[in-house]
Amino acid sequence: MGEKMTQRSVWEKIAAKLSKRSLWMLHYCTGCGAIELPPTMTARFDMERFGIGHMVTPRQADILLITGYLSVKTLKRVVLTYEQMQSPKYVVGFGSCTINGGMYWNSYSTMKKLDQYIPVETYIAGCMPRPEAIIASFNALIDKIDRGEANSWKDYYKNYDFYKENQDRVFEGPIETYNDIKADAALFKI
Amino acid sequence: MNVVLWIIFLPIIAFVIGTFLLGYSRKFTARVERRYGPPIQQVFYDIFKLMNKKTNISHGWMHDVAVLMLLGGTVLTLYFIPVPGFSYFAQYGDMLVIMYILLIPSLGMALGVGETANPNGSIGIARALTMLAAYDVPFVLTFIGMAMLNNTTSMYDLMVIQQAGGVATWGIVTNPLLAVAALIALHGMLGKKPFEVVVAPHEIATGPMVEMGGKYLGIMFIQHAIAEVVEMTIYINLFLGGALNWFEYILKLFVLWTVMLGVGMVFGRFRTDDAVRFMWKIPLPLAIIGVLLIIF
Amino acid sequence: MDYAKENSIIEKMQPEFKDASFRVVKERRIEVKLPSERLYDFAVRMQKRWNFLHLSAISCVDWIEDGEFELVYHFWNYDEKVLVMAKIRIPREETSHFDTLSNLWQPAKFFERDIHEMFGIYFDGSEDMERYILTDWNGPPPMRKDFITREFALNFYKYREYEPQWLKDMMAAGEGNE
Repeated sequence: MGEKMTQRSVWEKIAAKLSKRSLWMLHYCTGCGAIELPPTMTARFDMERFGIGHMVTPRQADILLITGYLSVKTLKRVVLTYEQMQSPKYVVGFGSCTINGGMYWNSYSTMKKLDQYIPVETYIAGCMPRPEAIIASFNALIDKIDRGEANSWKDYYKNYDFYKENQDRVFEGPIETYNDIKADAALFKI
Repeated sequence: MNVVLWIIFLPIIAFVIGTFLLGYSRKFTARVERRYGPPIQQVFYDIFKLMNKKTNISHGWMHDVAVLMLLGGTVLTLYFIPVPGFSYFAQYGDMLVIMYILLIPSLGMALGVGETANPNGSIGIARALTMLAAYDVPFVLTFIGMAMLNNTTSMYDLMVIQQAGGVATWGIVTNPLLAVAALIALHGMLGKKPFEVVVAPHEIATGPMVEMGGKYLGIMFIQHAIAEVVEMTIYINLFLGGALNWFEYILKLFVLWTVMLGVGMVFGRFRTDDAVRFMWKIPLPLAIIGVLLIIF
Repeated sequence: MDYAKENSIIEKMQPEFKDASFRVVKERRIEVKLPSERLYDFAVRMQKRWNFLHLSAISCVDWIEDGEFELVYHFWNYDEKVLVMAKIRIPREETSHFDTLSNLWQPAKFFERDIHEMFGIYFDGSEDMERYILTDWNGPPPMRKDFITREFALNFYKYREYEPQWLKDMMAAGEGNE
């Protein structure tokens, strides 16, 4: 999940330095963690000074923030949303429910380990993390982009069979996606 | 040769001024809300990031052409407006040409967004064309008023007259009613609150921009930056005396932008029918009275 | 205490339902135990004659030792502000059947769909019994008492490998669970 890039061209280094300063977050709040986002965006712990704003459609967003637990019903919609975003895109797992099930570890219908279904870039531990922790993790993500290690979006195109097998096992049958991942991978040479 | 250089570099200069104005507006908004804001060059980072996206989702060739029509229409309008140092085409065109060309971007966007079959986009386009009918009527009347007052339809001549006569011949002083009506209509044209019904981020998921991502959105942002400069330049040339050197021009842009930003910050957002009703209730009678005063 | 209002309501209902047992639980709460074939008559009279217009909920209890499901219907009266809980018992099978109440109260079908997903009781005569809560569910109805949640979750989902030293020390000393 995220290969180290050993040799980057000068253009890629400049591009990383400029595009790390403006990341847009999708305002899609799945679980209990959504309550920690308004304090992060407003005047006390201002998030906009790092360039992180909020966007309302997945086509315009870079970061998908999975705040909290995901029941199987929501996981299907999250997978469809993730496939509609345009690369490069980063998934941030928020709270301990995405790490190992969290408070709902023995429930029959919440998923336990998020990076089986979509590739995850960073995790934030806590139940719920405070805004200071959220901003620290966004800074860590910005540093990771700067060094060129934030490449988990490529993993989805390369190992699509692994993710699809896990998704189909949990859902009732193969889900109908509207984006053809393999064709996109061939077209954009990922 | 000079003309060719201006043709190449004028959109770039307008783009740079536009991005700094937009970045300034984000910083101003943040400071009023008592927080630090993004740096002033933030819009430039946004556009760079959008153009740097690796995958694209296209909805057909009309969708691709529409974005280019959007940018092309705005750049074409830029050539026909006299800016300091370059009025080659402005001497041949006049206000009627500008009024026509101003409609091309909206129509292009309407055709392209209709291709995507997203209901949010269709609602956004319906609102955009409704608002076009709302703010264009008082704006066109003010054009006609200023043309009748000075016996010319060429914007270049208007600018020369106002620059030659000094402050006493500025449009604001000779005909304040028309100037106020045009200011309110300009507020609607730029899409500032309370007339932000087209791009309503949390109501209709940013309206026409809902299916645009990556490079399409980057081009739309560039168009947004240039369009702000174009529309404010029209107002400056009609009512605020035009400009013959760049320092005066940028200063007037800055002052006008701050006034409109300050007014827009204290409002929420109108509904579409409220916005249309407001535009036809307050600026339109002012413009009509102003035109009648000129005739009689 | 003297439950005058509640007793007067019971006296209205008692003549036609001699085989039902009425009881005043506390102030403004009445409990009725009915045989299951009389429920529909009771519900019709509740709505049309005795002015209990609000069907607030339908809930289900799994009595696994008796081998029965118990369905509880909660009716409210707005004028007298009294709640009547009508309880019936149906036999517990793989798919138990019962009649629907959705032609008297339209929203009852949502409660019946919920009980169908969670307990497996099919309500005959209803327009649709489609799942709406557990849409991608393959297993048995999860609220039955013979469905062990923890065992199912540990077998079905994959967890992360996490073996820190402090946990190993705790388990060696005999504390903690898996």
